[in-house]
Amino acid sequence: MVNHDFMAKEFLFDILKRELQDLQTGPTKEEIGKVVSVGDGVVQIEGLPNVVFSEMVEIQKFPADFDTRPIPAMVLNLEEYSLGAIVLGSDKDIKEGDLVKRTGKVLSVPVGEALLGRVVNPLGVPLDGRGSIETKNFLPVERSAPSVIEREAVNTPLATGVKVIDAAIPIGRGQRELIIGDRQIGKTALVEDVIINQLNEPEGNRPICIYVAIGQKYSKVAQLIKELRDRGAMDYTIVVAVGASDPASLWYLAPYAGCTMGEYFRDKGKDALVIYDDLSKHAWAWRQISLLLRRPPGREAYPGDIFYTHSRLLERAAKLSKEKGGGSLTALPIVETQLGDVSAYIPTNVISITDGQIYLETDLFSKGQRPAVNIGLSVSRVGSAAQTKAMKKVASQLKLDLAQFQELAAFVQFAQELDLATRKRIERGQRLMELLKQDQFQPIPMEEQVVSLFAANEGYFDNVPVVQLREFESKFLDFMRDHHKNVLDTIRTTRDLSDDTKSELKKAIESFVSS
Amino acid sequence: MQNKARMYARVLLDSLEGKPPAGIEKIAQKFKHLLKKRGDLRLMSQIIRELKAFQGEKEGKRAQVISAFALAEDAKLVLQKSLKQRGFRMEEKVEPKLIGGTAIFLEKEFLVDGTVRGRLQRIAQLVKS
Repeated sequence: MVNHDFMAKEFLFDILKRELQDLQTGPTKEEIGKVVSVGDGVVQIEGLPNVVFSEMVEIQKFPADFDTRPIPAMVLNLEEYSLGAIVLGSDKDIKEGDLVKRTGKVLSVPVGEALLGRVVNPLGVPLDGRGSIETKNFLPVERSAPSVIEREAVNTPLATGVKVIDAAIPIGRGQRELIIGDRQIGKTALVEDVIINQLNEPEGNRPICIYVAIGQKYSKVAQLIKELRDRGAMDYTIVVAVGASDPASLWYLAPYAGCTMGEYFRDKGKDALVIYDDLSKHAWAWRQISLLLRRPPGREAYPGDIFYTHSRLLERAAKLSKEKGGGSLTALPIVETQLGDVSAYIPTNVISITDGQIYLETDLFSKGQRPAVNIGLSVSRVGSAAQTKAMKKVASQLKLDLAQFQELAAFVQFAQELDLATRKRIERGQRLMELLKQDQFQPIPMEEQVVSLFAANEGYFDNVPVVQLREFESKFLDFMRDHHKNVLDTIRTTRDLSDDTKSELKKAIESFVSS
Repeated sequence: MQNKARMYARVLLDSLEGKPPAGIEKIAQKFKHLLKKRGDLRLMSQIIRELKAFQGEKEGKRAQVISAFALAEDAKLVLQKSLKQRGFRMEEKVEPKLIGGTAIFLEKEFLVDGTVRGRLQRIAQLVKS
């Protein structure tokens, strides 16, 4: 205890000494402004003649209290005689006439490995009570996206562990894939599975995951963090959280802050995955701020730059060229629709920005198809280039069968009256749909997905009743893991399904079916 | 919006100029009615601010000197002289909370903080961070 006190004193002494060394003898001129009005998280400021756009300023009283920290704010409006700034914190202690000081810095957040496993707010302040974040690296929240020559085509798959996605709508590292659907349909559950599935990746190849919760209930976020922590997925995950009661300015900043944290890893040549949950709330926050800053409203009262707000964010997701280290930042933005209306303003905007979308549908969800992915409306515009050869071989047949099934779906009710070939197609389709069902927290590694889909394509599941199919599949996968691990290993390491492996696999399946 | 308030303030100032104190109240009343008629009553506080700013401009640049104790006569003279050279008119204020030293506000744009409290504040921030 005595030792501890002594150390604290030493520390203070050091600080004071340093301060005294830098001490200027004459008082210096500081640039200041004064708060003219404050309300709804927006302050109007007079003064600060040389302040620059998006600079951080600090609001404090004069004379200042020792026990209150200055409140940060970000300048967003530069007008002839006044400034508009958004308060990054609570505005209840700000009064008219308060002093505003320049910091000379644009808003930056801490980045680096020290953030892994942590829960922070968009300013990088820890929320998990695990002490301060020990990092010297800071990067600005708003950064420009990599240019054309710094990029490379998406060529590495991002394994999601969700059969329907990995097979039909594959995502590549560096891609931007939108997840869209109504509330309570499993959007967050889906991305949670994607994060957890990264445990199946070898550690050197495992992407760092950043989950950005925008305006969500803290209870939900806490539950998600617990699920991740229990499964050991927090070791490679950063959570940037803004609660529903936090100021809109923080909602607005959260995705940019999360993106910056991911970019640090991207620029170091690693892979990162950032999830924005969700961008419709982000658009609401930006609408609120813009209206309070008296910017002209456009369609649905969103400001004119709402498209640019999202496009500049998502453009920062990229696969970098080898010269730039070959890192990648994959973005999975989530957008919530109202009553399945994908043609609303924000959904269409984000659909057009991203490289594809995964559309979750209420009808499918209530029919028990979970994840409720509508394969017909979902696309991945660049991911198929990154799909592993093994998966490509089984997925092409699967997609064909499913497309044919969807065409015939209307006739399912009178399947008995149809000809044999059509009936077979319908039955195969029903089995495939059943096979694509997957419970939460049960991501499946690529090689197991491949063998399971291979068996279905080859018709080995055709004689199993639909209701028993999933049980049959899990038993089959157990059997493969116990008795034919070498086949799984070969697929995992070669990422291909060669003819030799195929025949070996066929033998394995036949021995399982006959037993 | 700012310019609108400024315009009103300029008009009010012009119409008030050279009027006897008795007439001022009448004009102010009329001005209020005018604002109401034009639906600009909510601009009142901005107009008053602009009016004050115009008034300030007329009187020259303002330097507010805030000190912990009343300034000594000789110090005051020196300050007054050097501020005048830079075109500032000095105003004094005593604020015991500053502990010691003086802070000078030059208009609304600059602050020269030479107070003990300001310096302590800086050290406090260093220790906290």
